[in-house]
Amino acid sequence: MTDLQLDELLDAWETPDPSPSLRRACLPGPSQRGQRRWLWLAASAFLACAVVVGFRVLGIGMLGQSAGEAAPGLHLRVTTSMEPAMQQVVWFRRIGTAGSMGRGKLVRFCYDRVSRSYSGYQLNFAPLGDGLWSMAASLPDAHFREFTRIEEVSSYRHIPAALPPARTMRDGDSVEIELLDGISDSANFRDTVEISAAALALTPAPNSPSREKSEMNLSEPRLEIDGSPIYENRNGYIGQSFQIVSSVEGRYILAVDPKGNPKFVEAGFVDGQAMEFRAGSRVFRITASKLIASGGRRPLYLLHQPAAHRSASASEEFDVASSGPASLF
Amino acid sequence: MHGDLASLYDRHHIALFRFAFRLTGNAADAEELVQEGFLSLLRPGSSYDPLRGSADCYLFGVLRNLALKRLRLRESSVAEPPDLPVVPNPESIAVHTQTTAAVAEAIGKLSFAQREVLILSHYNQKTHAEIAAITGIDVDAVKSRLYRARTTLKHLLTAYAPPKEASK
Repeated sequence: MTDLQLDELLDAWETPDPSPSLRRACLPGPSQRGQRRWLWLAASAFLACAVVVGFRVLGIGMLGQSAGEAAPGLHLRVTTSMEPAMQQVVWFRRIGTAGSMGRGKLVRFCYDRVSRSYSGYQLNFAPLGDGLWSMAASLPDAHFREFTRIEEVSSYRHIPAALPPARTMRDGDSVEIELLDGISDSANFRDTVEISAAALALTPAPNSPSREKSEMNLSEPRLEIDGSPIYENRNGYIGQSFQIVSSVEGRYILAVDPKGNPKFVEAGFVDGQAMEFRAGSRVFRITASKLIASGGRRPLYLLHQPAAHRSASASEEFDVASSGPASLF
Repeated sequence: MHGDLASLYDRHHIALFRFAFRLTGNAADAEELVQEGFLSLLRPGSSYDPLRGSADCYLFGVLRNLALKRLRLRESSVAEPPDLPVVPNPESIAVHTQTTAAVAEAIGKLSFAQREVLILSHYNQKTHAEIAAITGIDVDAVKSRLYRARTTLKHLLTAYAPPKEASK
Protein backbone atom coordinates (compact mmCIF):
# COMPACT_ATOMS: atom_id res chain seq x y z
CA MET A 1 0.00 0.00 0.00
CA THR A 2 1.35 3.41 -0.90
CA ASP A 3 1.30 6.43 1.36
CA LEU A 4 -1.31 8.03 -0.84
CA GLN A 5 -3.53 4.98 -0.59
CA LEU A 6 -3.17 5.03 3.17
CA ASP A 7 -4.01 8.74 3.31
CA GLU A 8 -7.07 8.11 1.23
CA LEU A 9 -8.18 5.39 3.61
CA LEU A 10 -7.53 7.51 6.66
CA ASP A 11 -9.64 10.29 5.20
CA ALA A 12 -12.61 7.94 5.28
CA TRP A 13 -12.77 8.21 9.06
CA GLU A 14 -15.00 11.13 9.78
CA THR A 15 -16.12 12.20 13.20
CA PRO A 16 -19.40 13.53 14.54
CA ASP A 17 -19.67 17.18 15.48
CA PRO A 18 -19.63 18.14 19.13
CA SER A 19 -22.99 18.85 20.67
CA PRO A 20 -24.13 22.49 20.89
CA SER A 21 -24.17 22.21 24.68
CA LEU A 22 -20.40 21.77 24.72
CA ARG A 23 -19.94 25.49 24.40
CA ARG A 24 -21.96 26.11 27.52
CA ALA A 25 -19.95 23.51 29.38
CA CYS A 26 -16.63 24.99 28.31
CA LEU A 27 -17.26 28.67 28.91
CA PRO A 28 -18.24 29.23 32.50
CA GLY A 29 -17.83 32.98 32.18
CA PRO A 30 -19.95 35.77 33.67
CA SER A 31 -22.98 35.13 31.50
CA GLN A 32 -22.58 31.43 31.98
CA ARG A 33 -22.30 31.54 35.70
CA GLY A 34 -25.86 32.63 36.14
CA GLN A 35 -27.07 29.85 33.96
CA ARG A 36 -24.85 27.32 35.61
CA ARG A 37 -26.14 28.47 38.92
CA TRP A 38 -29.65 28.10 37.65
CA LEU A 39 -28.93 24.61 36.45
CA TRP A 40 -27.30 23.75 39.70
CA LEU A 41 -30.07 25.11 41.83
CA ALA A 42 -32.73 23.43 39.84
CA ALA A 43 -30.84 20.19 39.63
CA SER A 44 -30.98 20.08 43.36
CA ALA A 45 -34.73 19.94 43.15
CA PHE A 46 -34.71 16.89 41.01
CA LEU A 47 -31.52 15.02 41.50
CA ALA A 48 -31.79 11.54 42.89
CA CYS A 49 -34.80 12.53 44.84
CA ALA A 50 -36.66 9.35 45.55
CA VAL A 51 -38.36 10.77 48.56
CA VAL A 52 -41.46 9.09 49.74
CA VAL A 53 -40.73 5.41 49.83
CA GLY A 54 -43.71 3.34 50.78
CA PHE A 55 -46.34 5.80 49.70
CA ARG A 56 -48.95 3.95 47.73
CA VAL A 57 -52.08 5.16 46.02
CA LEU A 58 -54.15 2.74 43.96
CA GLY A 59 -51.16 0.54 43.28
CA ILE A 60 -48.97 3.41 42.18
CA GLY A 61 -45.76 3.83 44.10
CA MET A 62 -44.30 7.26 44.34
CA LEU A 63 -40.53 7.24 44.01
CA GLY A 64 -39.93 10.93 44.26
CA GLN A 65 -41.45 14.33 44.02
CA SER A 66 -40.29 17.89 43.61
CA ALA A 67 -41.98 21.22 43.14
CA GLY A 68 -40.92 24.64 41.98
CA GLU A 69 -41.67 27.65 39.84
CA ALA A 70 -40.91 27.29 36.14
CA ALA A 71 -41.99 30.81 35.20
CA PRO A 72 -43.83 33.66 36.89
CA GLY A 73 -47.29 32.29 37.57
CA LEU A 74 -46.38 28.78 36.49
CA HIS A 75 -45.70 26.33 39.28
CA LEU A 76 -44.90 22.70 38.59
CA ARG A 77 -44.96 19.61 40.71
CA VAL A 78 -43.22 16.59 39.25
CA THR A 79 -43.92 13.16 40.66
CA THR A 80 -41.95 10.11 39.63
CA SER A 81 -43.90 6.94 40.20
CA MET A 82 -43.99 3.27 39.34
CA GLU A 83 -46.94 1.03 38.68
CA PRO A 84 -47.60 -1.39 40.18
CA ALA A 85 -45.93 -0.44 43.43
CA MET A 86 -43.69 -3.46 43.90
CA GLN A 87 -40.33 -3.74 45.61
CA GLN A 88 -40.23 -0.02 46.00
CA VAL A 89 -37.16 0.00 48.17
CA VAL A 90 -35.30 -1.85 45.45
CA TRP A 91 -36.43 0.63 42.85
CA PHE A 92 -35.77 3.49 45.17
CA ARG A 93 -32.12 2.44 45.16
CA ARG A 94 -32.10 2.05 41.40
CA ILE A 95 -33.99 5.06 40.13
CA GLY A 96 -32.68 8.59 40.25
CA THR A 97 -33.82 11.80 38.68
CA ALA A 98 -32.11 14.99 37.65
CA GLY A 99 -33.05 18.10 35.77
CA SER A 100 -33.77 21.76 35.93
CA MET A 101 -36.71 24.09 36.03
CA GLY A 102 -36.93 27.73 35.03
CA ARG A 103 -37.40 30.14 32.16
CA GLY A 104 -40.60 28.40 31.18
CA LYS A 105 -38.82 25.11 30.76
CA LEU A 106 -38.68 21.83 32.61
CA VAL A 107 -35.74 19.59 31.75
CA ARG A 108 -35.93 16.20 33.27
CA PHE A 109 -33.91 12.99 33.32
CA CYS A 110 -34.82 9.75 35.00
CA TYR A 111 -32.19 7.06 35.19
CA ASP A 112 -31.68 3.52 36.34
CA ARG A 113 -28.38 2.82 38.00
CA VAL A 114 -28.54 -0.93 37.42
CA SER A 115 -29.36 -1.16 33.73
CA ARG A 116 -27.41 2.05 33.16
CA SER A 117 -30.09 3.67 31.12
CA TYR A 118 -31.91 6.95 31.16
CA SER A 119 -34.83 8.77 29.65
CA GLY A 120 -34.99 12.50 29.21
CA TYR A 121 -37.53 15.00 28.12
CA GLN A 122 -38.15 18.70 28.10
CA LEU A 123 -41.41 20.58 28.49
CA ASN A 124 -41.54 24.10 27.11
CA PHE A 125 -44.28 26.37 28.38
CA ALA A 126 -45.36 29.63 26.77
CA PRO A 127 -48.04 31.92 28.22
CA LEU A 128 -51.21 32.30 26.19
CA GLY A 129 -52.97 34.66 28.60
CA ASP A 130 -55.94 34.07 30.88
CA GLY A 131 -53.96 31.49 32.82
CA LEU A 132 -53.43 29.28 29.79
CA TRP A 133 -50.09 27.85 28.79
CA SER A 134 -49.03 26.11 25.63
CA MET A 135 -46.98 23.04 26.40
CA ALA A 136 -44.68 21.34 23.91
CA ALA A 137 -42.64 18.29 24.79
CA SER A 138 -39.35 17.40 23.18
CA LEU A 139 -36.08 15.67 23.85
CA PRO A 140 -33.87 17.78 26.11
CA ASP A 141 -31.64 20.41 24.59
CA ALA A 142 -28.98 19.46 27.07
CA HIS A 143 -27.18 16.19 27.64
CA PHE A 144 -27.82 13.95 30.62
CA ARG A 145 -24.26 14.25 31.84
CA GLU A 146 -24.68 17.98 32.39
CA PHE A 147 -27.07 17.19 35.18
CA THR A 148 -25.43 14.38 36.99
CA ARG A 149 -22.17 13.41 38.53
CA ILE A 150 -22.70 9.71 37.99
CA GLU A 151 -19.43 8.06 37.24
CA GLU A 152 -19.20 6.59 33.77
CA VAL A 153 -22.26 8.50 32.67
CA SER A 154 -21.14 8.02 29.10
CA SER A 155 -21.93 4.33 29.38
CA TYR A 156 -25.61 5.04 30.05
CA ARG A 157 -27.88 4.24 27.14
CA HIS A 158 -30.76 6.43 26.18
CA ILE A 159 -34.30 5.06 26.29
CA PRO A 160 -36.58 7.56 24.59
CA ALA A 161 -39.38 8.88 26.77
CA ALA A 162 -42.92 8.65 25.41
CA LEU A 163 -43.48 12.31 24.72
CA PRO A 164 -47.01 13.67 25.02
CA PRO A 165 -48.45 15.74 22.17
CA ALA A 166 -48.39 19.52 22.39
CA ARG A 167 -51.43 20.91 24.17
CA THR A 168 -52.86 23.85 26.01
CA MET A 169 -52.79 23.56 29.79
CA ARG A 170 -54.30 25.50 32.64
CA ASP A 171 -54.20 25.58 36.42
CA GLY A 172 -54.90 22.09 37.73
CA ASP A 173 -53.98 20.21 34.56
CA SER A 174 -51.35 17.51 34.47
CA VAL A 175 -49.42 15.59 31.87
CA GLU A 176 -47.78 12.19 32.08
CA ILE A 177 -44.54 11.09 30.48
CA GLU A 178 -43.68 7.41 30.34
CA LEU A 179 -40.04 6.72 31.14
CA LEU A 180 -37.44 3.97 31.06
CA ASP A 181 -39.52 1.63 28.98
CA GLY A 182 -38.31 -1.93 29.23
CA ILE A 183 -36.10 -1.80 32.31
CA SER A 184 -38.60 -3.92 34.21
CA ASP A 185 -40.80 -6.76 33.01
CA SER A 186 -43.49 -5.95 35.51
CA ALA A 187 -43.48 -2.26 36.27
CA ASN A 188 -43.89 0.99 34.36
CA PHE A 189 -42.35 4.28 35.31
CA ARG A 190 -43.62 7.74 34.65
CA ASP A 191 -43.39 11.35 35.58
CA THR A 192 -46.59 13.25 36.26
CA VAL A 193 -46.21 16.98 35.85
CA GLU A 194 -48.91 19.09 37.46
CA ILE A 195 -49.21 22.78 36.77
CA SER A 196 -50.66 25.45 38.99
CA ALA A 197 -50.90 29.21 39.17
CA ALA A 198 -49.99 29.04 42.85
CA ALA A 199 -47.13 27.28 44.60
CA LEU A 200 -47.67 23.56 44.92
CA ALA A 201 -46.88 21.80 48.15
CA LEU A 202 -45.24 18.44 48.24
CA THR A 203 -47.63 15.59 48.84
CA PRO A 204 -47.57 14.69 52.49
CA ALA A 205 -46.41 11.21 53.26
CA PRO A 206 -48.57 8.92 55.37
CA ASN A 207 -48.13 9.54 59.05
CA SER A 208 -45.87 7.07 60.68
CA PRO A 209 -43.89 7.59 63.86
CA SER A 210 -40.65 6.35 62.36
CA ARG A 211 -41.04 8.46 59.29
CA GLU A 212 -41.93 11.57 61.25
CA LYS A 213 -38.82 11.03 63.32
CA SER A 214 -36.54 10.81 60.32
CA GLU A 215 -38.12 13.13 57.79
CA MET A 216 -36.52 16.41 56.83
CA ASN A 217 -38.07 19.19 54.83
CA LEU A 218 -36.01 21.72 52.95
CA SER A 219 -38.05 24.62 51.64
CA GLU A 220 -36.32 27.43 49.79
CA PRO A 221 -32.94 26.38 51.14
CA ARG A 222 -29.91 28.61 51.35
CA LEU A 223 -26.47 27.15 51.79
CA GLU A 224 -23.55 28.98 53.36
CA ILE A 225 -20.05 27.67 53.81
CA ASP A 226 -17.97 29.44 56.40
CA GLY A 227 -20.47 32.25 56.35
CA SER A 228 -20.33 32.82 52.60
CA PRO A 229 -23.55 32.31 50.65
CA ILE A 230 -23.07 29.54 48.12
CA TYR A 231 -26.52 28.57 47.03
CA GLU A 232 -30.21 29.30 47.35
CA ASN A 233 -33.35 28.34 45.55
CA ARG A 234 -37.10 28.65 45.82
CA ASN A 235 -37.93 24.98 45.62
CA GLY A 236 -38.67 22.51 48.34
CA TYR A 237 -37.99 18.88 48.97
CA ILE A 238 -38.74 16.23 51.52
CA GLY A 239 -36.44 13.36 52.29
CA GLN A 240 -35.09 11.15 55.03
CA SER A 241 -31.65 12.45 54.28
CA PHE A 242 -30.04 15.10 52.14
CA GLN A 243 -26.86 15.11 50.24
CA ILE A 244 -24.57 17.93 49.35
CA VAL A 245 -22.27 16.97 46.53
CA SER A 246 -19.05 18.87 46.08
CA SER A 247 -17.02 18.42 42.93
CA VAL A 248 -13.92 18.61 45.10
CA GLU A 249 -14.83 17.08 48.44
CA GLY A 250 -17.25 14.38 47.35
CA ARG A 251 -20.63 13.73 48.88
CA TYR A 252 -21.94 14.71 52.30
CA ILE A 253 -25.05 12.78 53.33
CA LEU A 254 -27.00 14.29 56.20
CA ALA A 255 -29.70 12.77 58.35
CA VAL A 256 -31.37 13.45 61.66
CA ASP A 257 -32.07 9.76 62.02
CA PRO A 258 -29.06 7.60 61.06
CA LYS A 259 -31.26 4.49 61.26
CA GLY A 260 -28.55 2.73 63.18
CA ASN A 261 -26.09 3.05 60.32
CA PRO A 262 -22.68 3.23 62.02
CA LYS A 263 -21.17 5.04 59.06
CA PHE A 264 -22.96 8.19 60.12
CA VAL A 265 -21.31 10.33 62.77
CA GLU A 266 -22.72 13.24 64.66
CA ALA A 267 -21.37 16.39 63.04
CA GLY A 268 -23.79 19.18 63.78
CA PHE A 269 -27.37 20.01 64.58
CA VAL A 270 -30.77 20.81 63.16
CA ASP A 271 -32.71 23.50 64.91
CA GLY A 272 -35.92 24.95 63.57
CA GLN A 273 -35.27 26.35 60.14
CA ALA A 274 -31.52 25.83 60.17
CA MET A 275 -29.05 23.02 60.16
CA GLU A 276 -25.32 23.21 60.51
CA PHE A 277 -22.43 20.81 60.39
CA ARG A 278 -18.68 20.85 60.25
CA ALA A 279 -16.71 18.90 57.66
CA GLY A 280 -12.97 19.21 57.88
CA SER A 281 -12.22 22.84 58.48
CA ARG A 282 -15.42 24.12 56.91
CA VAL A 283 -18.76 24.91 58.47
CA PHE A 284 -21.81 24.23 56.30
CA ARG A 285 -25.07 25.93 57.22
CA ILE A 286 -28.40 25.52 55.50
CA THR A 287 -31.38 27.69 56.34
CA ALA A 288 -34.90 27.10 55.06
CA SER A 289 -38.18 28.96 55.05
CA LYS A 290 -39.94 26.22 57.01
CA LEU A 291 -39.19 23.86 59.84
CA ILE A 292 -36.56 21.39 58.67
CA ALA A 293 -37.22 18.63 61.19
CA SER A 294 -39.60 18.12 64.06
CA GLY A 295 -38.52 17.80 67.66
CA GLY A 296 -36.61 20.99 68.36
CA ARG A 297 -32.82 21.02 68.33
CA ARG A 298 -31.56 17.62 67.25
CA PRO A 299 -28.20 16.14 66.34
CA LEU A 300 -27.32 16.05 62.68
CA TYR A 301 -25.49 12.97 61.44
CA LEU A 302 -23.04 13.01 58.59
CA LEU A 303 -21.66 10.41 56.24
CA HIS A 304 -18.86 11.81 54.10
CA GLN A 305 -17.98 9.89 50.95
CA PRO A 306 -14.93 11.73 49.60
CA ALA A 307 -14.67 9.72 46.41
CA ALA A 308 -18.31 9.92 45.41
CA HIS A 309 -19.30 12.13 42.52
CA ARG A 310 -16.07 14.04 42.35
CA SER A 311 -15.22 15.65 39.09
CA ALA A 312 -12.33 17.46 37.54
CA SER A 313 -14.11 20.78 37.25
CA ALA A 314 -12.02 23.89 37.55
CA SER A 315 -13.73 25.23 40.62
CA GLU A 316 -15.70 23.64 43.39
CA GLU A 317 -19.34 23.25 42.49
CA PHE A 318 -22.18 21.87 44.50
CA ASP A 319 -25.32 19.87 44.06
CA VAL A 320 -27.92 19.37 46.73
CA ALA A 321 -30.49 16.61 46.64
CA SER A 322 -32.88 14.79 48.86
CA SER A 323 -32.19 11.13 49.52
CA GLY A 324 -33.63 8.09 51.16
CA PRO A 325 -33.27 6.62 54.63
CA ALA A 326 -29.79 6.57 56.12
CA SER A 327 -29.96 2.79 56.29
CA LEU A 328 -29.61 2.69 52.51
CA PHE A 329 -26.07 4.04 52.49
CA MET B 1 -10.94 36.55 29.91
CA HIS B 2 -14.35 35.22 28.99
CA GLY B 3 -14.20 36.92 25.62
CA ASP B 4 -10.74 35.53 24.95
CA LEU B 5 -11.82 32.08 25.96
CA ALA B 6 -14.94 32.28 23.82
CA SER B 7 -12.84 33.30 20.86
CA LEU B 8 -10.42 30.48 21.54
CA TYR B 9 -13.30 28.07 21.82
CA ASP B 10 -14.85 29.20 18.55
CA ARG B 11 -11.57 28.79 16.72
CA HIS B 12 -10.47 25.46 18.08
CA HIS B 13 -13.21 23.46 19.68
CA ILE B 14 -14.08 21.39 16.63
CA ALA B 15 -10.47 20.42 15.97
CA LEU B 16 -9.99 19.62 19.64
CA PHE B 17 -13.16 17.59 19.79
CA ARG B 18 -12.20 15.60 16.70
CA PHE B 19 -8.76 14.96 18.13
CA ALA B 20 -10.26 13.79 21.41
CA PHE B 21 -12.88 11.70 19.63
CA ARG B 22 -10.26 9.92 17.57
CA LEU B 23 -8.12 9.33 20.61
CA THR B 24 -10.93 7.96 22.73
CA GLY B 25 -13.39 6.67 20.12
CA ASN B 26 -16.22 8.09 22.14
CA ALA B 27 -18.08 11.38 21.69
CA ALA B 28 -19.05 11.70 25.33
CA ASP B 29 -15.49 11.16 26.49
CA ALA B 30 -14.28 13.56 23.83
CA GLU B 31 -16.59 16.31 25.01
CA GLU B 32 -15.53 15.77 28.58
CA LEU B 33 -11.89 16.07 27.59
CA VAL B 34 -12.54 19.26 25.65
CA GLN B 35 -14.44 20.69 28.56
CA GLU B 36 -11.68 19.82 30.98
CA GLY B 37 -9.16 21.31 28.60
CA PHE B 38 -10.87 24.66 28.43
CA LEU B 39 -11.56 24.71 32.14
CA SER B 40 -7.89 24.06 32.77
CA LEU B 41 -7.14 27.44 31.28
CA LEU B 42 -9.23 29.06 33.98
CA ARG B 43 -7.85 27.01 36.81
CA PRO B 44 -5.73 28.91 39.29
CA GLY B 45 -2.14 28.00 38.66
CA SER B 46 -2.81 27.01 35.07
CA SER B 47 0.44 26.08 33.39
CA TYR B 48 -0.49 27.83 30.17
CA ASP B 49 2.08 30.45 29.24
CA PRO B 50 1.45 32.36 25.99
CA LEU B 51 5.18 32.99 25.70
CA ARG B 52 5.90 29.28 25.55
CA GLY B 53 3.48 28.33 22.82
CA SER B 54 0.10 28.78 21.25
CA ALA B 55 -3.07 28.18 23.18
CA ASP B 56 -4.28 25.55 20.77
CA CYS B 57 -1.08 23.53 21.17
CA TYR B 58 -1.45 23.87 24.91
CA LEU B 59 -5.02 22.59 24.68
CA PHE B 60 -4.03 19.68 22.45
CA GLY B 61 -1.40 18.83 25.04
CA VAL B 62 -3.88 18.98 27.89
CA LEU B 63 -6.31 16.76 26.02
CA ARG B 64 -3.73 14.13 25.20
CA ASN B 65 -2.57 14.09 28.82
CA LEU B 66 -6.14 13.65 30.02
CA ALA B 67 -6.82 10.96 27.46
CA LEU B 68 -3.66 9.12 28.42
CA LYS B 69 -4.59 9.34 32.07
CA ARG B 70 -7.99 7.84 31.36
CA LEU B 71 -6.50 5.14 29.23
CA ARG B 72 -4.14 4.12 31.99
CA LEU B 73 -7.01 3.90 34.42
CA ARG B 74 -8.88 1.59 32.11
CA GLU B 75 -5.99 -0.46 30.80
CA SER B 76 -5.76 -2.64 33.85
CA SER B 77 -9.06 -4.26 32.96
CA VAL B 78 -8.82 -4.20 29.17
CA ALA B 79 -6.92 -6.84 27.31
CA GLU B 80 -4.71 -5.74 24.47
CA PRO B 81 -6.49 -6.46 21.19
CA PRO B 82 -4.77 -8.96 18.93
CA ASP B 83 -2.61 -7.42 16.27
CA LEU B 84 -4.35 -9.03 13.33
CA PRO B 85 -5.24 -7.69 9.90
CA VAL B 86 -8.75 -6.39 9.62
CA VAL B 87 -10.67 -8.51 7.13
CA PRO B 88 -13.59 -6.92 5.31
CA ASN B 89 -16.94 -8.62 5.24
CA PRO B 90 -17.59 -9.55 1.59
CA GLU B 91 -21.33 -9.50 2.20
CA SER B 92 -21.36 -5.89 3.19
CA ILE B 93 -22.43 -3.31 0.68
CA ALA B 94 -21.88 -0.42 3.03
CA VAL B 95 -18.35 -0.01 1.81
CA HIS B 96 -17.76 3.46 3.13
CA THR B 97 -19.13 2.66 6.54
CA GLN B 98 -17.14 -0.52 6.63
CA THR B 99 -13.97 1.27 5.65
CA THR B 100 -14.58 3.95 8.23
CA ALA B 101 -15.05 1.34 10.91
CA ALA B 102 -11.98 -0.52 9.79
CA VAL B 103 -9.87 2.62 9.85
CA ALA B 104 -11.15 3.54 13.29
CA GLU B 105 -10.50 0.05 14.54
CA ALA B 106 -7.04 -0.08 13.05
CA ILE B 107 -6.06 3.27 14.54
CA GLY B 108 -7.50 2.11 17.83
CA LYS B 109 -5.06 -0.79 17.75
CA LEU B 110 -2.06 1.50 17.62
CA SER B 111 -0.28 2.25 20.83
CA PHE B 112 -1.34 5.52 22.38
CA ALA B 113 2.01 7.05 21.53
CA GLN B 114 1.68 6.17 17.86
CA ARG B 115 -2.01 6.95 17.71
CA GLU B 116 -1.72 10.49 19.02
CA VAL B 117 1.11 11.29 16.62
CA LEU B 118 -0.77 9.83 13.66
CA ILE B 119 -3.97 11.73 14.53
CA LEU B 120 -2.22 15.03 15.12
CA SER B 121 -0.31 14.68 11.90
CA HIS B 122 -2.93 13.37 9.54
CA TYR B 123 -6.20 14.70 10.89
CA ASN B 124 -5.14 17.85 12.68
CA GLN B 125 -2.44 18.78 10.20
CA LYS B 126 0.08 19.59 12.88
CA THR B 127 3.74 19.92 11.97
CA HIS B 128 6.33 17.64 13.47
CA ALA B 129 7.53 20.50 15.66
CA GLU B 130 4.01 21.19 16.91
CA ILE B 131 3.44 17.51 17.63
CA ALA B 132 6.71 17.41 19.51
CA ALA B 133 5.57 20.36 21.62
CA ILE B 134 2.19 18.81 22.29
CA THR B 135 3.42 15.36 23.19
CA GLY B 136 6.60 16.39 24.93
CA ILE B 137 8.95 14.36 22.77
CA ASP B 138 11.57 15.47 20.27
CA VAL B 139 10.98 15.84 16.56
CA ASP B 140 12.97 12.75 15.65
CA ALA B 141 10.81 10.67 17.96
CA VAL B 142 7.73 12.13 16.32
CA LYS B 143 8.97 11.12 12.90
CA SER B 144 9.84 7.66 14.13
CA ARG B 145 6.48 7.09 15.77
CA LEU B 146 4.66 8.42 12.76
CA TYR B 147 6.56 6.10 10.46
CA ARG B 148 5.83 3.09 12.64
CA ALA B 149 2.19 4.04 12.94
CA ARG B 150 1.74 4.35 9.22
CA THR B 151 3.58 1.10 8.58
CA THR B 152 1.32 -0.69 11.04
CA LEU B 153 -1.78 0.81 9.48
CA LYS B 154 -0.74 -0.22 6.01
CA HIS B 155 -0.45 -3.74 7.29
CA LEU B 156 -3.75 -3.68 9.15
CA LEU B 157 -5.67 -2.09 6.31
CA THR B 158 -4.19 -4.02 3.42
CA ALA B 159 -7.55 -5.52 2.51
CA TYR B 160 -9.06 -2.07 2.18
CA ALA B 161 -6.46 -0.53 -0.05
CA PRO B 162 -8.12 1.51 -2.75
CA PRO B 163 -7.16 0.72 -6.33
CA LYS B 164 -3.89 2.34 -7.20
CA GLU B 165 -5.38 4.13 -10.16
CA ALA B 166 -7.74 5.87 -7.75
CA SER B 167 -4.80 7.11 -5.75
CA LYS B 168 -3.30 9.95 -7.61
